[in-house]
Amino acid sequence: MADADEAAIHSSSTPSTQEDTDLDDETQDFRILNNLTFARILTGTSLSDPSNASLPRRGEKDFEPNPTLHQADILSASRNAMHNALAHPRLHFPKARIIAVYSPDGPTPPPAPKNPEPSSQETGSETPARGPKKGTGIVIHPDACAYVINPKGQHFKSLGQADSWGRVWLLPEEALYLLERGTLDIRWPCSMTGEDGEGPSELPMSLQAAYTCFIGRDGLTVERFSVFSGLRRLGYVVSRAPGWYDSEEEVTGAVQARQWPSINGLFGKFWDWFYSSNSTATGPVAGLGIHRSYNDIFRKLAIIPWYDPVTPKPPQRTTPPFRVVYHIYKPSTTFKKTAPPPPDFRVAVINAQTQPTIPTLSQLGALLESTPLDPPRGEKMSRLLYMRLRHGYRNVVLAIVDHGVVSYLRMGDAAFGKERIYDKGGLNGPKKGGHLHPKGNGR
Amino acid sequence: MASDPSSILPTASVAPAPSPKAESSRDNGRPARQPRPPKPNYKHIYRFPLPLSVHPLPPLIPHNPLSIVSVILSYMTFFISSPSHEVYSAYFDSNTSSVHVTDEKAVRALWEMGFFGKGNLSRSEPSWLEREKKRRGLLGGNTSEDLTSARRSERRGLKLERARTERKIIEERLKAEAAARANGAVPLDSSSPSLPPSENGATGNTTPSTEKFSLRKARQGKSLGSQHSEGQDQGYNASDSVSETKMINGGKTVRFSPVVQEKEFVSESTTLHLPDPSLNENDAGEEPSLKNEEHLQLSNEEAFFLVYGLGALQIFDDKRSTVIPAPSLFSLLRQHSYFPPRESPTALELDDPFIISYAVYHHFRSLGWIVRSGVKFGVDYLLYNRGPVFSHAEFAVVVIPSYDNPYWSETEERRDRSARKQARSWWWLHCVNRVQAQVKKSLVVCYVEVPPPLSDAQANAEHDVGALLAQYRVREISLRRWVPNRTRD
Amino acid sequence: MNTTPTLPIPISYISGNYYIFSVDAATYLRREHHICGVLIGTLPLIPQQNVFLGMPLELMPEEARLLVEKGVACIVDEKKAHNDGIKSLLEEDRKRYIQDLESQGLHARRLQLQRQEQSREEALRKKEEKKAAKMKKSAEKQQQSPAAGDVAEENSIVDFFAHNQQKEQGSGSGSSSSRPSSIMVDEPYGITPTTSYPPLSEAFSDKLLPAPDVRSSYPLFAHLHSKGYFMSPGLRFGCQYMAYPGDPLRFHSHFLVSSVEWDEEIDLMDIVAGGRLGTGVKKGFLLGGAERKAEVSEAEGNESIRMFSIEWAGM
Repeated sequence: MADADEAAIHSSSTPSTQEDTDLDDETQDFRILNNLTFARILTGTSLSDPSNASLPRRGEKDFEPNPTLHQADILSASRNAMHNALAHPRLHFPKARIIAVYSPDGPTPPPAPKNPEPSSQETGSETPARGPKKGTGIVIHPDACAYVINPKGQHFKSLGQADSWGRVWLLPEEALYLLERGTLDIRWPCSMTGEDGEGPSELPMSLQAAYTCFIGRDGLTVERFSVFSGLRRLGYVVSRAPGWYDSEEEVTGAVQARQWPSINGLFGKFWDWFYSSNSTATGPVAGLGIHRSYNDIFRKLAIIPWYDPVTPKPPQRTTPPFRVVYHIYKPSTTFKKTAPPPPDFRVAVINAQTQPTIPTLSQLGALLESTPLDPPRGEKMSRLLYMRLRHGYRNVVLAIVDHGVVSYLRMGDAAFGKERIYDKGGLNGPKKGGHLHPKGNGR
Repeated sequence: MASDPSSILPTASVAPAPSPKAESSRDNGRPARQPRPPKPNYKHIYRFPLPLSVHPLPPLIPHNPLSIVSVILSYMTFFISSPSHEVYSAYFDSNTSSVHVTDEKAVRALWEMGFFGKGNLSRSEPSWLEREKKRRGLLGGNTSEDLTSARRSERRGLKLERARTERKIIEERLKAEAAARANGAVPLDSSSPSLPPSENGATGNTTPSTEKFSLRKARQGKSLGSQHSEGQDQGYNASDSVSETKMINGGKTVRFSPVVQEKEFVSESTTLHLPDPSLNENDAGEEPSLKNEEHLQLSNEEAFFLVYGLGALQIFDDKRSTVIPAPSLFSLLRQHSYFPPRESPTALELDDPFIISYAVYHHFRSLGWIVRSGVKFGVDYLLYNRGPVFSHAEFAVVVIPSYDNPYWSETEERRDRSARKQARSWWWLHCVNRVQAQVKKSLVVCYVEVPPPLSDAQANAEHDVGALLAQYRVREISLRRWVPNRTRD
Repeated sequence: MNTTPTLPIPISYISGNYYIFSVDAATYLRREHHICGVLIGTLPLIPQQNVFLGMPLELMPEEARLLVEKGVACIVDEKKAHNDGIKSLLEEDRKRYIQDLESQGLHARRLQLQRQEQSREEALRKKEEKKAAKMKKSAEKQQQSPAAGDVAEENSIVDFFAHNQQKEQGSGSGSSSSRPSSIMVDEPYGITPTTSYPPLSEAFSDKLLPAPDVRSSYPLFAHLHSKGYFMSPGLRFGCQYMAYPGDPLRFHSHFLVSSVEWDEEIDLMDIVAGGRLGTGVKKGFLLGGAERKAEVSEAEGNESIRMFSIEWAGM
């Protein structure tokens, strides 16, 4: 009966519930949009902050269908609203129209070069080599596949790369995202439509064509795109990380048999100790003699090796899909395209259909080790034991995509072994929520 | 088709009297239970973290000769009459593959000093005797079980009432619609959805006449006492408070099919009241004859830790005649971690479920955590900071073996085996993580690296339990859902 | 909106996934065939949130398969269709299409201007009302601060389209006399069409693909669907599918569905967790799958599906 956990469940209070639910978890009633957006769009406002109070509350739903007309009418009104919202066209105001051209062969110099040495500036589209090539200072990503003729607006602060002709080149995910949100009018190139001349055709690319052309291009799976656009919609800056290409080796090194010798070395002392003191062979590990303190007992009990994320290790090779493909910057982080700051989050994208199982330790371990050490820091962390453990020493976000639905999980290298709570809590325990002060790290 | 989908009964939304609850990590955060007498002094009762006694040396003060004398003296006394360790007894029941403690003193000691085991007739602390006494009216107060069943039957009544009301609303609406059709007129309230977007906010045009007959309202009407905050049946309440807040927010509520409710009511009510055995012998205060029918059940990991780790327990075999030495007990428990148990100790493997789970258990215990079974939450272990009476478990641990050593991927067969043993699906992980989120726990995935087979030299030490355990390595990954909407700052 | 598109509906196959791009088709499939899919695109109306999403609609292979088996849809290799289609597009077709778009853009422009007019009047009226109301209780707060807040919010808009309008609005709201008259009514909006058909022709015969391969959970999926349930991917909730008794727009799901193989060993812990999960959110946890019979397997349709609903009983 003295089990506080029994009571835990009664009181799962609002904050935690909210923490774990999200409006986009379930289908929301599009009728809410009727009230909000048409009014707003017409007055020129929009839902600029997705988390603000103006976002619709959850609509009321029924438990199950019943034969009333009333219910049928509400449903059909909801469907109507949904239909209308989906059918709303992507319009480009004539003066603010931003036009881009699809460039199926990658970055190319402009058709009529005003510049005497154009070819040295751009990477050839057919170059199989990955990674940006250096020209005369401007580097266009070889995967870029559309260029904006008249770049304006704040999207280009964090998207695209300008070349020396004033065009901004977009990666496929950037081009598709801007088209999808109704910001960009991408044209087929004349070379494809058979029109005379070069450059943009009159023919706009449809959403369907954009998906067809950009998804599947240079590593852009639809799962990766969903993560990109989902986070961009919330205001995050999302940029490709070095782990984007499956084939590319992030690091090389002795992969096989790397760990075990070191473990043996690491725990050699354990071995010695085992043979010198027989107490662990048959027990009791705590010893038979007189115990002077509980801390002594706990120290003796520590015979199970544990992983210490702080000890330097040779880098391991990450295996797709368990590698960081995006660096994520919070909306509040100042982002400069030319000198990106260290990311706020690192994301690996996983298709739950092709990778139905969770990572093995070696997969996850390599992924975590490809991220920098990020130990718990700060006043709050040093005070709060649980928070330290949840934060961990390295961390990574996994985006698991199940047919268009993205689920994010944050994994932290917790290292419980670094927190010997017997040493601190003691019998009286700290008063503040069981959060204990850390003592020296390491072993 | 074994199950008719329509017969599901999602739990009703019932609002318990809101009890402002301390954060789960609050140290002494046990919720106060109003009808109870003041709670016992847990700090005193549970002052020993392990069932071992310690004898600290008196403080040694160099410039005070007396202190040296006292230190020497204390050594001397221990030499002359060394304080004997209390070693408790238990026995291994091979039919149930479990370890039982029947001696009452041992039961109390193991529970109070480190929270080992659980009462086989109780949820965790062995409390059957006390409950039984209360039930027979020998002690004052209601048992929590009584309150629970009273609350449940009340809730069933409310659900039924609500279902009736809802059905009535539907019937009336149907009637009205039929009448309207007959008149060729549009029924008044069904026109609302087709109204142009109303100005007064999001839910402005939904179901004007469907004033919710919520359980909460029903309950408020009845204004039942505060006893509901006390409840024991966790799941219902967990969802209750959730639903309550949702309703307050004007958010989603789930309604129930009247038909289903009634069906369920009938079937549940039959199991509601078990025959009360005490009725037959209720007339006299038979306290002296009341025998404790309960024993303490230790998990195999707990038992082995007490024997091998602490030396605080000896375990007798089935016949209760001989004590099983630790290495043999280790093999025995490994054999019994399969079902059916493996006959021969030679059939043991390096990834026996017991060895894996014991490594984790021992690891967390050695760091000072109170480690208890997490079966109620679909996980392997729960980690308590000082013990379940003091705080909720913050961490819920699932254990997954890991086969990183190259040995395990040398042949096709081994690769398949390893893949099979460590495979867990994404939906399982999300499921477990969601369950923990419901009860405000953090999920920890604890990987255990399985070593390759021992070399010859090591194999000699086959009976060296410590040497074997030192081959394993644990690594904890803390896991939580990341909601991008909330980390934008 | 209640139209039936021409059948079979083309499902676009792009890089391993299945999509619907036509809004009419999406609405139709939802209404008539209880296929919801998952909207994965940005709604141009409100591009800065994830609660309401737009086209395209991604279908699970199960959904695509089901539609193909019913003869409602066919799978089109969209890459091929586009490559071939764009290159073989006739000049006159292209020109006609571009003209068409232009007149649509013009129409949209006129519509928009009309609506702006309306809403401007409305806004003005409201403002007056508000002012009047505020004057009455001017006691505690100065009336300017909320208005200022609104403006700040509007400024953060990135959407060019909206942004532009807002500027107009800003200038117009001060006095109704300064009209955006500078805008020529004959200046059409540019349009990014949703689908490529037209201008491409819908002759798919040489671009058709076979019905999608599906997971072993397909029989269970198809069975629940045949019982009237709306199914959607459930990973985020800890299961394979969510099963709704009706359109998810209107109803909460009843079941968290996980498929298991007939001979698969089910970990008891998984049942505990599943049961708790379901009960915790007032749903049933449903385990099910196709029964493997000893007899010679019959033709499809005779497959028998077993399902078990699990609830956590507290204790």
